[in-house]
Amino acid sequence: MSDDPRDLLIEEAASAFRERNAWGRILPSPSWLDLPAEERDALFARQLESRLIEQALDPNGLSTTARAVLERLKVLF
Amino acid sequence: MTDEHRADRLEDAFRRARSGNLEAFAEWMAMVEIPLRRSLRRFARAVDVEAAVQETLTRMWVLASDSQWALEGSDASLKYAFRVARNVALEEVRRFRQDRFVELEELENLLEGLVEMELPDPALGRAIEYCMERLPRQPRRALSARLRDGCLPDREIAAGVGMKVNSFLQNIVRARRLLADCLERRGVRLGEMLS
Repeated sequence: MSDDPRDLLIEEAASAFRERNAWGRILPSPSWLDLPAEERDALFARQLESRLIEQALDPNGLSTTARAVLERLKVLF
Repeated sequence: MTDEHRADRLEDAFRRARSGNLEAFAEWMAMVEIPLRRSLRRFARAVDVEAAVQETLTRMWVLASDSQWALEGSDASLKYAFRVARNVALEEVRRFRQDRFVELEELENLLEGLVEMELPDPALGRAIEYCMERLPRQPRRALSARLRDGCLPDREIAAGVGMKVNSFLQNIVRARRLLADCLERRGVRLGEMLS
């Protein structure tokens, strides 16, 4: 298994889950804030690939990002 | 499907979303998310792109619901979404004081996104399913759970598959590597498709 802390930090930030502040504004992942600049490029690539895979596997073509937004909209509106 | 048909389908979904149709908005999101995300590549060092994309899509729903707001021209909703995404990203750079990682002036003057919209390819879905089925059990369980429930916190998803968060993440990293190798053997290079 991978024990490279860099890989694990990138994987944590690749999730579509994001916390919100008291006013409901979305916050960056704490793992993203811990990543150095060049690792943020690697994260961008991993997120993009992951969302493409999620869309390809979902019957409605929705990624976890789109599903997170839909859940939020159902709460708000 | 031709580019023209894709664009028509996109604008039709957005028009239906404007009457409060959340399903139509979901259809629209499925078409714009990847191009929108790619348009933020230049911001990746200074902005959590995931947060920026979610905020952009939420604002597009609010705008879609505003009956006073007029939207005209070809690919109008996609072009407007690019503009909203860029504004959100610039706000985030300033909000979290990440401007040391980017040339802010250059990003402010970037031309609007020109990334073309593409719909998910069914053949890609079949190749991914084939390779997922061939992953070792634990990596497959972890990655499948993340791909399905990734909008939940990792601690919840990990608990659902009976793993500690660290082993859950380790299994996902391993699964992604094996999946990429399998796809490459089948002639699919995700990185190249998205570059």
